[in-house]
Amino acid sequence: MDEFTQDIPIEQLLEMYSGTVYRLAYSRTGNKQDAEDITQDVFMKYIKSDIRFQDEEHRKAWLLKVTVNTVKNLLTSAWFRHRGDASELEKLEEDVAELPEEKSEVYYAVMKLPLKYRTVVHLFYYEEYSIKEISGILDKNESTVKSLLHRSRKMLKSLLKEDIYEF
Amino acid sequence: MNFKDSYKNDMDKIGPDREFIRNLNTSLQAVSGRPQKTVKFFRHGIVSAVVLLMIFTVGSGLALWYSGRKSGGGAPNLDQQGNMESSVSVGETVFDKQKWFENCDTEQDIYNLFIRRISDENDLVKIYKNNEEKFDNSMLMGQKEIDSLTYMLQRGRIGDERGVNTENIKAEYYMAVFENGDIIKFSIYESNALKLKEFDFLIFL
Repeated sequence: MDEFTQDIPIEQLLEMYSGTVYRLAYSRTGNKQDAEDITQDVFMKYIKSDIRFQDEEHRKAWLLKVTVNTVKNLLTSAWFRHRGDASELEKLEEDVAELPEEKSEVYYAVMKLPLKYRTVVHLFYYEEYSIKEISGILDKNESTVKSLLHRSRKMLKSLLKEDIYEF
Repeated sequence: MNFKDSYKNDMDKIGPDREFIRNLNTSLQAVSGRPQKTVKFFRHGIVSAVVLLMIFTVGSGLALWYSGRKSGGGAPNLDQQGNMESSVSVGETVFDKQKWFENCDTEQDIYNLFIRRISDENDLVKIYKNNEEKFDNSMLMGQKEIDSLTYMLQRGRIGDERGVNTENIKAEYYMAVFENGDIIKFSIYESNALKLKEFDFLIFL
């Protein structure tokens, strides 16, 4: 009964992975509306794809990879660039009105990181992927991912000011 | 302080709205009902003929089966009590899919149906379990654990409490998936009370 099932009902798919996709999209875009749009796009792509998964981890990794690429496409689209938001594509200011309550300084520090660092931090610390797995999701080589993570930690230590956090 | 724990704690508070997920579910169901591949043209006459023959055969079979289920004049299928039969017919779409408990009249009926389905190995596909109400990184229950759970559930009795605030009580959360795509979510609180997600009554185990 615990065998991998290739085709799972949509409701089950959303129960299992909508949060995962949404949180990655949110960590990259910094706002609810874009995160919802991205989430919808990702699952639409899933429905329309023919890909066969080897196991549940493969399915999850595919969803995350598509999320990363979908956000990238959004951020580089002409429409998005002229939306009148932050001056730099990779540093998005959050919509303060949408900030969830009771967030620690850690959250705000991560959201201040440039996009490529933020994504590595999210995948490493929240999704608990290894360097190797992150390199597969982001299509970057492992040494690049290691370097991004290392630089992220340095930036975070500087943003967090107090040397009280263990990484 | 641990950076990872702080970050996880904050990100756990972020998630999609239930209404957004409901709407997304509806949209995806609609899209998944459409053919995903378009056959542009046939290269060989033989392939064309075989496919056309299959379509004709299946179509005739479905028409015969569907007409056989109708009792004249397009009247709905009713049981002896005048209630709608629960089986899904060819003409229905995913939007017409009934809730699993739609044919239950009382809370006891609901609970009995729930027990029946969860105990039926031809109906139940799997159960996920977690200590919080999300299942993306949850544990898949093994058969022995499911057997213990269903044994425990057989003894349940419906309590008098309604709308009890269970926010500060520790619980284990479950999501049962069935062959026909139904999903039943429930939780078991440390006081040995079970709550089905859609209802406000408690079952004491």
